[in-house]
Amino acid sequence: MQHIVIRNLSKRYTHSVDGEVHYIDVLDNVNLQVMKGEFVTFFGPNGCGKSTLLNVTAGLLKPDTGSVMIDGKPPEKARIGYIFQNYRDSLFPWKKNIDNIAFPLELQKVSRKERRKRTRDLLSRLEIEIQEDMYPYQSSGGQQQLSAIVRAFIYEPDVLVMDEPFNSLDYQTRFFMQGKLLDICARTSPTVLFVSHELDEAIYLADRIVLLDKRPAKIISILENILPRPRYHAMVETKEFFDLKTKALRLLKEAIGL
Amino acid sequence: MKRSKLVAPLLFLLLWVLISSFSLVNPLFLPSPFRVVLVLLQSFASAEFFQDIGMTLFRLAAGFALGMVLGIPLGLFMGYYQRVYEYLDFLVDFFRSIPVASLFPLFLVMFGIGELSKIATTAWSTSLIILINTMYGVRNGKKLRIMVAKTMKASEYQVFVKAIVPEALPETFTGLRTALSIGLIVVVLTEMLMGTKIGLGQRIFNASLMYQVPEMYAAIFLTGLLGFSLNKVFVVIGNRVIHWAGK
Repeated sequence: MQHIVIRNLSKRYTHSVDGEVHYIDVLDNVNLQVMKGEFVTFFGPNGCGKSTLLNVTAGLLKPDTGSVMIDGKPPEKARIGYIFQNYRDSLFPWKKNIDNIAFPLELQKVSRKERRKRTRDLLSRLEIEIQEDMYPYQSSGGQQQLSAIVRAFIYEPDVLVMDEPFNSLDYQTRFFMQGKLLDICARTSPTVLFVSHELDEAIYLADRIVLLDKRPAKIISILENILPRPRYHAMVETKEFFDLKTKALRLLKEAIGL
Repeated sequence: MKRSKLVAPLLFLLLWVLISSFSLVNPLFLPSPFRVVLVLLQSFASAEFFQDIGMTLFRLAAGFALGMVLGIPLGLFMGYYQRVYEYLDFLVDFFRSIPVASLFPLFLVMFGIGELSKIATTAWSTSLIILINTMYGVRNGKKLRIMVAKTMKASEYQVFVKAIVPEALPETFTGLRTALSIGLIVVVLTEMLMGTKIGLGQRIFNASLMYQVPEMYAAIFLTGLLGFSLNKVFVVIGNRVIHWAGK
Protein backbone atom coordinates (compact mmCIF):
# COMPACT_ATOMS: atom_id res chain seq x y z
CA MET A 1 0.00 0.00 0.00
CA GLN A 2 1.25 3.50 -0.78
CA HIS A 3 1.89 5.22 2.50
CA ILE A 4 3.24 8.59 1.46
CA VAL A 5 2.28 10.06 -1.88
CA ILE A 6 4.13 13.18 -3.02
CA ARG A 7 2.67 14.57 -6.22
CA ASN A 8 3.96 17.36 -8.47
CA LEU A 9 5.53 19.20 -5.57
CA SER A 10 7.00 22.62 -6.31
CA LYS A 11 8.10 25.33 -3.96
CA ARG A 12 9.69 28.71 -4.46
CA TYR A 13 10.90 31.21 -1.92
CA THR A 14 10.34 34.87 -2.54
CA HIS A 15 12.31 37.63 -0.94
CA SER A 16 12.66 41.28 -1.79
CA VAL A 17 15.87 43.23 -1.91
CA ASP A 18 15.41 47.01 -2.12
CA GLY A 19 11.84 46.58 -3.29
CA GLU A 20 12.85 44.16 -6.02
CA VAL A 21 11.23 40.76 -5.68
CA HIS A 22 13.48 37.76 -6.19
CA TYR A 23 12.42 34.16 -6.60
CA ILE A 24 14.35 31.08 -5.70
CA ASP A 25 12.90 27.83 -6.94
CA VAL A 26 13.77 25.12 -4.45
CA LEU A 27 11.58 22.21 -5.46
CA ASP A 28 10.68 21.44 -9.03
CA ASN A 29 7.91 18.96 -9.68
CA VAL A 30 8.89 16.25 -7.21
CA ASN A 31 6.97 12.98 -7.40
CA LEU A 32 7.57 10.15 -4.97
CA GLN A 33 5.71 7.29 -3.39
CA VAL A 34 6.86 5.61 -0.21
CA MET A 35 5.65 2.31 1.16
CA LYS A 36 4.87 1.67 4.79
CA GLY A 37 7.95 0.60 6.71
CA GLU A 38 10.32 1.79 4.01
CA PHE A 39 13.57 3.56 4.76
CA VAL A 40 14.14 6.24 2.13
CA THR A 41 17.18 8.49 2.10
CA PHE A 42 17.64 11.71 0.19
CA PHE A 43 21.01 12.65 -1.15
CA GLY A 44 21.99 15.73 -3.08
CA PRO A 45 24.29 18.73 -3.05
CA ASN A 46 24.21 21.13 -0.12
CA GLY A 47 21.50 23.74 -0.36
CA CYS A 48 19.63 21.84 -3.07
CA GLY A 49 16.35 21.85 -1.19
CA LYS A 50 16.52 18.53 0.67
CA SER A 51 15.40 20.10 3.92
CA THR A 52 12.66 22.02 2.17
CA LEU A 53 11.37 18.77 0.68
CA LEU A 54 11.39 17.22 4.13
CA ASN A 55 9.66 20.20 5.73
CA VAL A 56 6.94 20.26 3.10
CA THR A 57 6.42 16.53 3.50
CA ALA A 58 6.21 16.95 7.26
CA GLY A 59 3.66 19.73 6.88
CA LEU A 60 5.92 22.41 8.36
CA LEU A 61 5.91 24.28 5.06
CA LYS A 62 3.16 24.69 2.49
CA PRO A 63 3.96 23.73 -1.09
CA ASP A 64 3.16 26.19 -3.88
CA THR A 65 1.82 23.50 -6.12
CA GLY A 66 1.26 19.79 -5.74
CA SER A 67 0.34 17.82 -2.67
CA VAL A 68 1.58 15.47 0.01
CA MET A 69 -0.67 12.76 1.37
CA ILE A 70 0.15 10.47 4.25
CA ASP A 71 -2.30 7.58 4.46
CA GLY A 72 -4.68 9.75 2.46
CA LYS A 73 -4.44 12.63 4.93
CA PRO A 74 -2.61 15.92 4.58
CA PRO A 75 0.64 15.92 6.59
CA GLU A 76 -0.72 18.33 9.20
CA LYS A 77 -3.17 15.60 10.19
CA ALA A 78 -0.54 12.86 10.31
CA ARG A 79 1.82 12.14 13.19
CA ILE A 80 5.32 13.15 12.20
CA GLY A 81 8.33 12.31 14.33
CA TYR A 82 10.82 14.97 13.39
CA ILE A 83 14.47 14.61 14.31
CA PHE A 84 16.59 17.66 13.72
CA GLN A 85 20.30 17.96 13.17
CA ASN A 86 20.67 20.34 16.08
CA TYR A 87 19.87 18.12 19.05
CA ARG A 88 21.14 20.78 21.44
CA ASP A 89 18.35 23.14 20.48
CA SER A 90 15.73 20.48 19.96
CA LEU A 91 15.87 19.02 23.47
CA PHE A 92 14.55 20.98 26.45
CA PRO A 93 17.52 21.76 28.70
CA TRP A 94 15.29 22.28 31.74
CA LYS A 95 14.03 18.70 31.54
CA LYS A 96 15.87 15.56 32.54
CA ASN A 97 16.66 13.15 29.70
CA ILE A 98 13.81 10.85 30.63
CA ASP A 99 11.32 13.71 30.73
CA ASN A 100 12.60 14.97 27.40
CA ILE A 101 11.83 11.60 25.87
CA ALA A 102 8.44 11.55 27.58
CA PHE A 103 7.56 15.04 26.33
CA PRO A 104 5.08 13.88 23.65
CA LEU A 105 3.23 11.97 26.38
CA GLU A 106 3.23 15.07 28.56
CA LEU A 107 1.52 16.93 25.72
CA GLN A 108 -1.06 14.15 25.63
CA LYS A 109 -1.63 14.78 29.35
CA VAL A 110 -0.43 11.35 30.45
CA SER A 111 0.39 11.42 34.17
CA ARG A 112 4.02 11.84 35.16
CA LYS A 113 4.28 8.40 36.70
CA GLU A 114 2.68 6.68 33.74
CA ARG A 115 4.78 8.49 31.15
CA ARG A 116 8.02 7.67 32.95
CA LYS A 117 6.95 4.07 33.10
CA ARG A 118 6.13 3.98 29.40
CA THR A 119 9.42 5.66 28.59
CA ARG A 120 11.37 3.10 30.59
CA ASP A 121 9.43 0.30 28.90
CA LEU A 122 10.28 1.64 25.48
CA LEU A 123 13.93 2.13 26.39
CA SER A 124 14.26 -1.43 27.60
CA ARG A 125 12.35 -2.76 24.58
CA LEU A 126 14.80 -0.94 22.31
CA GLU A 127 17.71 -1.95 24.55
CA ILE A 128 18.83 1.63 24.84
CA GLU A 129 20.47 3.03 27.91
CA ILE A 130 19.97 6.67 28.70
CA GLN A 131 21.21 8.51 31.75
CA GLU A 132 17.66 9.15 32.84
CA ASP A 133 18.25 11.59 35.65
CA MET A 134 20.86 13.66 33.86
CA TYR A 135 20.08 16.81 31.98
CA PRO A 136 20.85 17.00 28.24
CA TYR A 137 23.77 19.38 28.82
CA GLN A 138 25.33 16.77 31.09
CA SER A 139 25.14 14.10 28.38
CA SER A 140 27.25 13.54 25.29
CA GLY A 141 26.10 14.59 21.84
CA GLY A 142 25.33 11.00 20.88
CA GLN A 143 23.26 10.50 24.02
CA GLN A 144 21.36 13.69 23.33
CA GLN A 145 20.50 12.75 19.78
CA LEU A 146 19.56 9.26 20.96
CA SER A 147 17.13 10.87 23.41
CA ALA A 148 15.68 12.92 20.57
CA ILE A 149 15.26 9.77 18.46
CA VAL A 150 13.55 7.83 21.23
CA ARG A 151 11.36 10.88 21.89
CA ALA A 152 10.21 10.70 18.28
CA PHE A 153 9.44 7.00 18.68
CA ILE A 154 7.42 7.39 21.83
CA TYR A 155 5.19 9.70 19.84
CA GLU A 156 4.32 6.65 17.71
CA PRO A 157 4.73 8.54 14.46
CA ASP A 158 3.26 7.58 11.10
CA VAL A 159 6.46 8.82 9.54
CA LEU A 160 9.89 9.48 10.97
CA VAL A 161 11.56 12.47 9.37
CA MET A 162 15.27 12.92 9.97
CA ASP A 163 17.18 15.92 8.71
CA GLU A 164 20.90 15.14 8.74
CA PRO A 165 20.58 13.90 12.31
CA PHE A 166 24.14 12.70 12.75
CA ASN A 167 25.99 15.61 11.19
CA SER A 168 27.06 17.26 14.42
CA LEU A 169 28.44 14.04 15.86
CA ASP A 170 32.01 12.83 15.66
CA TYR A 171 32.91 10.03 13.27
CA GLN A 172 32.85 7.21 15.78
CA THR A 173 29.58 8.28 17.41
CA ARG A 174 28.09 8.57 13.96
CA PHE A 175 28.78 4.89 13.26
CA PHE A 176 27.33 3.95 16.61
CA MET A 177 24.20 5.99 15.98
CA GLN A 178 23.69 4.54 12.51
CA GLY A 179 23.82 1.09 14.05
CA LYS A 180 21.41 2.09 16.80
CA LEU A 181 18.99 3.57 14.32
CA LEU A 182 19.03 0.45 12.15
CA ASP A 183 18.48 -1.63 15.26
CA ILE A 184 15.50 0.46 16.37
CA CYS A 185 14.07 0.30 12.86
CA ALA A 186 14.45 -3.46 12.72
CA ARG A 187 12.42 -3.71 15.94
CA THR A 188 9.68 -1.24 15.08
CA SER A 189 9.71 -0.99 11.24
CA PRO A 190 8.79 2.67 10.96
CA THR A 191 8.59 4.60 7.71
CA VAL A 192 11.67 6.81 7.58
CA LEU A 193 12.57 9.77 5.41
CA PHE A 194 16.22 10.56 6.00
CA VAL A 195 18.21 13.41 4.55
CA SER A 196 21.96 12.99 4.39
CA HIS A 197 24.83 14.64 2.65
CA GLU A 198 27.06 11.62 3.16
CA LEU A 199 26.62 9.23 0.27
CA ASP A 200 27.90 6.24 2.27
CA GLU A 201 25.41 6.91 5.02
CA ALA A 202 22.57 7.45 2.54
CA ILE A 203 23.26 4.10 0.88
CA TYR A 204 24.07 2.14 4.02
CA LEU A 205 20.81 2.94 5.81
CA ALA A 206 18.38 2.94 2.93
CA ASP A 207 15.95 0.69 1.15
CA ARG A 208 15.84 3.32 -1.57
CA ILE A 209 18.08 6.32 -2.18
CA VAL A 210 16.58 9.39 -3.82
CA LEU A 211 19.21 11.36 -5.70
CA LEU A 212 18.41 15.03 -6.00
CA ASP A 213 19.67 17.61 -8.46
CA LYS A 214 21.16 20.90 -7.41
CA ARG A 215 18.65 23.66 -6.74
CA PRO A 216 15.83 23.53 -7.68
CA ALA A 217 15.70 19.98 -6.39
CA LYS A 218 14.19 17.48 -8.74
CA ILE A 219 14.65 13.77 -8.61
CA ILE A 220 17.53 12.56 -10.77
CA SER A 221 17.03 8.93 -10.01
CA ILE A 222 15.89 6.54 -7.31
CA LEU A 223 18.23 3.67 -6.51
CA GLU A 224 17.34 0.52 -4.71
CA ASN A 225 19.64 -0.95 -2.09
CA ILE A 226 19.06 -4.67 -2.09
CA LEU A 227 21.65 -5.47 0.57
CA PRO A 228 19.97 -7.72 3.12
CA ARG A 229 18.97 -6.65 6.61
CA PRO A 230 20.17 -6.64 9.29
CA ARG A 231 22.86 -4.41 7.94
CA TYR A 232 26.26 -4.20 9.52
CA HIS A 233 29.06 -1.89 8.79
CA ALA A 234 31.31 -4.32 6.97
CA MET A 235 28.75 -4.21 4.15
CA VAL A 236 30.16 -0.91 2.95
CA GLU A 237 33.09 -2.95 1.67
CA THR A 238 31.00 -5.37 -0.39
CA LYS A 239 30.86 -5.28 -4.16
CA GLU A 240 27.12 -4.54 -4.13
CA PHE A 241 27.68 -1.46 -2.01
CA PHE A 242 30.55 -0.31 -4.15
CA ASP A 243 28.57 -0.78 -7.37
CA LEU A 244 25.65 1.16 -5.95
CA LYS A 245 27.88 3.97 -4.90
CA THR A 246 29.58 4.10 -8.28
CA LYS A 247 26.22 4.18 -9.99
CA ALA A 248 24.99 6.98 -7.76
CA LEU A 249 28.11 9.01 -8.37
CA ARG A 250 27.86 8.54 -12.11
CA LEU A 251 24.23 9.66 -12.12
CA LEU A 252 25.04 12.68 -10.02
CA LYS A 253 27.98 13.52 -12.21
CA GLU A 254 25.84 13.45 -15.34
CA ALA A 255 23.14 15.62 -13.77
CA ILE A 256 25.20 18.12 -11.86
CA GLY A 257 28.46 17.98 -13.71
CA LEU A 258 30.70 17.13 -10.79
CA MET B 1 35.00 31.65 48.50
CA LYS B 2 38.46 31.96 47.02
CA ARG B 3 41.03 33.51 49.27
CA SER B 4 42.16 35.84 46.49
CA LYS B 5 38.78 37.52 46.59
CA LEU B 6 39.55 38.81 50.08
CA VAL B 7 42.78 40.54 49.10
CA ALA B 8 41.28 43.67 47.59
CA PRO B 9 38.78 44.34 50.42
CA LEU B 10 41.51 43.86 53.02
CA LEU B 11 43.86 46.22 51.19
CA PHE B 12 41.06 48.73 50.94
CA LEU B 13 40.46 48.48 54.66
CA LEU B 14 44.19 48.83 55.37
CA LEU B 15 44.34 51.94 53.23
CA TRP B 16 41.39 53.39 55.12
CA VAL B 17 43.07 52.65 58.47
CA LEU B 18 46.31 54.26 57.29
CA ILE B 19 44.63 57.36 55.94
CA SER B 20 42.55 57.91 59.04
CA SER B 21 45.30 57.12 61.55
CA PHE B 22 47.70 59.58 59.91
CA SER B 23 44.81 62.05 59.52
CA LEU B 24 45.53 62.43 55.81
CA VAL B 25 41.89 63.35 55.33
CA ASN B 26 39.87 65.50 57.71
CA PRO B 27 38.25 62.97 60.11
CA LEU B 28 35.02 64.93 59.75
CA PHE B 29 34.75 63.46 56.23
CA LEU B 30 36.47 60.17 56.85
CA PRO B 31 36.24 58.72 60.37
CA SER B 32 38.33 55.68 61.21
CA PRO B 33 36.85 52.33 60.25
CA PHE B 34 36.95 51.25 63.90
CA ARG B 35 34.72 54.14 64.78
CA VAL B 36 32.29 53.23 62.03
CA VAL B 37 32.16 49.59 63.12
CA LEU B 38 31.63 50.67 66.73
CA VAL B 39 28.75 52.94 65.75
CA LEU B 40 27.29 50.18 63.62
CA LEU B 41 27.42 47.74 66.53
CA GLN B 42 25.89 50.31 68.85
CA SER B 43 23.08 50.90 66.40
CA PHE B 44 22.06 47.30 66.71
CA ALA B 45 20.98 48.08 70.24
CA SER B 46 18.37 50.57 69.09
CA ALA B 47 14.90 49.64 67.94
CA GLU B 48 14.78 52.50 65.41
CA PHE B 49 17.67 50.98 63.54
CA PHE B 50 15.74 47.79 62.91
CA GLN B 51 12.67 49.79 62.05
CA ASP B 52 14.69 51.56 59.38
CA ILE B 53 15.97 48.33 57.91
CA GLY B 54 12.52 46.75 58.11
CA MET B 55 10.83 49.68 56.42
CA THR B 56 13.34 49.84 53.59
CA LEU B 57 13.01 46.11 53.04
CA PHE B 58 9.23 46.33 53.14
CA ARG B 59 9.14 49.08 50.51
CA LEU B 60 11.56 47.17 48.35
CA ALA B 61 9.62 43.93 48.68
CA ALA B 62 6.28 45.58 47.95
CA GLY B 63 7.59 47.59 44.99
CA PHE B 64 9.51 44.64 43.60
CA ALA B 65 6.57 42.27 43.95
CA LEU B 66 4.33 44.72 42.17
CA GLY B 67 7.00 45.19 39.53
CA MET B 68 7.07 41.44 38.99
CA VAL B 69 3.31 41.12 38.80
CA LEU B 70 3.22 43.85 36.15
CA GLY B 71 6.48 43.18 34.34
CA ILE B 72 6.46 39.43 33.79
CA PRO B 73 3.00 39.01 32.20
CA LEU B 74 3.41 42.14 30.10
CA GLY B 75 6.89 41.03 29.03
CA LEU B 76 5.61 37.59 28.03
CA PHE B 77 2.73 39.17 26.16
CA MET B 78 4.92 41.67 24.32
CA GLY B 79 7.51 39.06 23.51
CA TYR B 80 4.98 36.58 22.17
CA TYR B 81 2.89 38.85 19.98
CA GLN B 82 4.98 40.58 17.38
CA ARG B 83 2.17 43.10 16.77
CA VAL B 84 1.95 44.08 20.42
CA TYR B 85 5.72 44.45 20.45
CA GLU B 86 5.62 46.76 17.45
CA TYR B 87 2.90 48.87 19.05
CA LEU B 88 4.48 49.20 22.48
CA ASP B 89 8.22 48.95 21.85
CA PHE B 90 8.72 52.66 21.35
CA LEU B 91 6.66 53.59 24.40
CA VAL B 92 8.49 51.16 26.68
CA ASP B 93 11.82 52.35 25.38
CA PHE B 94 10.83 55.94 26.08
CA PHE B 95 9.49 55.22 29.57
CA ARG B 96 12.64 53.49 30.64
CA SER B 97 14.67 56.43 29.41
CA ILE B 98 12.95 58.79 31.84
CA PRO B 99 15.17 59.22 34.92
CA VAL B 100 13.03 57.88 37.72
CA ALA B 101 13.93 60.79 40.04
CA SER B 102 12.25 63.17 37.62
CA LEU B 103 9.01 61.30 38.25
CA PHE B 104 9.12 61.76 42.05
CA PRO B 105 7.05 64.95 41.99
CA LEU B 106 4.48 63.35 39.72
CA PHE B 107 4.15 60.26 41.92
CA LEU B 108 3.92 62.49 45.00
CA VAL B 109 1.03 64.36 43.45
CA MET B 110 -0.66 61.18 42.36
CA PHE B 111 -0.14 58.96 45.40
CA GLY B 112 0.51 61.37 48.28
CA ILE B 113 3.41 61.42 50.70
CA GLY B 114 2.57 58.07 52.29
CA GLU B 115 3.92 54.62 51.50
CA LEU B 116 2.00 54.30 48.26
CA SER B 117 4.06 56.82 46.32
CA LYS B 118 7.35 55.18 47.33
CA ILE B 119 6.14 51.70 46.51
CA ALA B 120 4.63 52.87 43.23
CA THR B 121 7.90 54.53 42.22
CA THR B 122 9.85 51.38 42.98
CA ALA B 123 7.29 49.28 41.13
CA TRP B 124 7.56 51.58 38.11
CA SER B 125 11.33 51.21 37.89
CA THR B 126 11.49 47.49 38.57
CA SER B 127 8.58 46.55 36.32
CA LEU B 128 10.18 48.19 33.30
CA ILE B 129 13.44 46.31 33.80
CA ILE B 130 11.64 43.01 34.36
CA LEU B 131 9.35 43.61 31.39
CA ILE B 132 12.19 44.27 28.96
CA ASN B 133 14.23 41.28 30.05
CA THR B 134 11.25 38.93 29.96
CA MET B 135 10.30 40.22 26.54
CA TYR B 136 13.75 39.62 25.11
CA GLY B 137 13.82 36.23 26.81
CA VAL B 138 10.77 35.27 24.80
CA ARG B 139 12.00 36.84 21.58
CA ASN B 140 15.47 35.31 21.82
CA GLY B 141 14.18 31.85 22.67
CA LYS B 142 15.21 29.00 20.40
CA LYS B 143 12.69 28.76 17.59
CA LEU B 144 13.58 25.11 17.06
CA ARG B 145 12.17 24.09 20.46
CA ILE B 146 8.90 25.76 19.61
CA MET B 147 8.91 23.90 16.30
CA VAL B 148 9.61 20.62 18.12
CA ALA B 149 6.57 21.17 20.34
CA LYS B 150 4.47 22.08 17.33
CA THR B 151 5.48 19.00 15.34
CA MET B 152 4.24 16.95 18.28
CA LYS B 153 0.86 18.62 18.03
CA ALA B 154 1.17 20.82 21.08
CA SER B 155 -1.68 23.28 21.45
CA GLU B 156 -0.87 26.97 21.35
CA TYR B 157 -1.28 27.10 25.12
CA GLN B 158 1.08 24.14 25.57
CA VAL B 159 3.69 25.71 23.31
CA PHE B 160 3.50 28.85 25.41
CA VAL B 161 3.64 27.19 28.81
CA LYS B 162 5.99 24.32 28.05
CA ALA B 163 8.40 25.89 25.59
CA ILE B 164 8.23 29.66 25.46
CA VAL B 165 7.99 30.47 29.17
CA PRO B 166 10.83 28.19 30.35
CA GLU B 167 12.86 29.40 27.39
CA ALA B 168 12.46 32.97 28.66
CA LEU B 169 13.30 32.10 32.27
CA PRO B 170 17.06 32.74 32.26
CA GLU B 171 16.67 36.25 30.88
CA THR B 172 13.67 36.93 33.08
CA PHE B 173 15.76 35.98 36.05
CA THR B 174 18.56 38.30 34.99
CA GLY B 175 15.90 41.00 34.82
CA LEU B 176 14.70 40.19 38.33
CA ARG B 177 18.21 40.44 39.68
CA THR B 178 18.92 43.75 38.02
CA ALA B 179 15.52 45.03 39.08
CA LEU B 180 16.20 44.14 42.70
CA SER B 181 19.46 46.08 42.72
CA ILE B 182 17.90 49.08 41.00
CA GLY B 183 14.88 48.73 43.29
CA LEU B 184 17.02 49.21 46.37
CA ILE B 185 18.56 52.32 44.85
CA VAL B 186 15.11 53.72 44.08
CA VAL B 187 13.77 52.94 47.57
CA VAL B 188 16.71 54.69 49.24
CA LEU B 189 16.24 57.66 46.91
CA THR B 190 12.55 57.92 47.67
CA GLU B 191 13.33 57.80 51.36
CA MET B 192 15.68 60.72 50.97
CA LEU B 193 13.58 62.81 48.63
CA MET B 194 9.93 61.88 49.02
CA GLY B 195 9.60 62.49 52.74
CA THR B 196 9.47 59.85 55.44
CA LYS B 197 10.61 59.40 59.03
CA ILE B 198 11.73 55.81 58.74
CA GLY B 199 14.07 54.01 56.35
CA LEU B 200 17.77 53.63 55.64
CA GLY B 201 17.73 56.45 53.12
CA GLN B 202 16.31 58.78 55.70
CA ARG B 203 18.84 57.60 58.28
CA ILE B 204 21.72 58.41 55.93
CA PHE B 205 20.20 61.74 55.02
CA ASN B 206 19.59 62.77 58.64
CA ALA B 207 23.06 61.73 59.75
CA SER B 208 24.54 63.87 57.01
CA LEU B 209 22.41 66.89 57.94
CA MET B 210 23.56 66.64 61.55
CA TYR B 211 27.20 65.92 60.69
CA GLN B 212 27.01 62.53 62.39
CA VAL B 213 29.48 61.24 59.87
CA PRO B 214 30.31 57.84 61.46
CA GLU B 215 26.57 57.16 61.71
CA MET B 216 26.22 58.06 58.07
CA TYR B 217 29.02 55.70 57.07
CA ALA B 218 27.51 52.94 59.17
CA ALA B 219 24.13 53.34 57.45
CA ILE B 220 25.74 53.50 54.00
CA PHE B 221 27.73 50.37 54.74
CA LEU B 222 24.64 48.55 55.93
CA THR B 223 22.65 49.56 52.86
CA GLY B 224 25.47 48.31 50.66
CA LEU B 225 25.63 45.07 52.58
CA LEU B 226 21.87 44.65 52.14
CA GLY B 227 22.06 45.11 48.38
CA PHE B 228 25.07 42.83 48.14
CA SER B 229 23.41 40.05 50.16
CA LEU B 230 20.13 40.27 48.26
CA ASN B 231 22.00 39.95 45.00
CA LYS B 232 24.00 36.98 46.27
CA VAL B 233 20.88 35.21 47.46
CA PHE B 234 19.35 35.76 44.05
CA VAL B 235 22.40 34.36 42.29
CA VAL B 236 22.26 31.22 44.43
CA ILE B 237 18.55 30.76 43.78
CA GLY B 238 19.11 31.44 40.08
CA ASN B 239 21.82 28.81 39.75
CA ARG B 240 19.49 26.30 41.34
CA VAL B 241 16.32 27.09 39.45
CA ILE B 242 17.82 28.00 36.08
CA HIS B 243 20.55 25.37 36.25
CA TRP B 244 20.69 24.97 32.47
CA ALA B 245 21.40 28.61 31.62
CA GLY B 246 24.52 29.11 29.54
CA LYS B 247 25.10 25.38 29.12
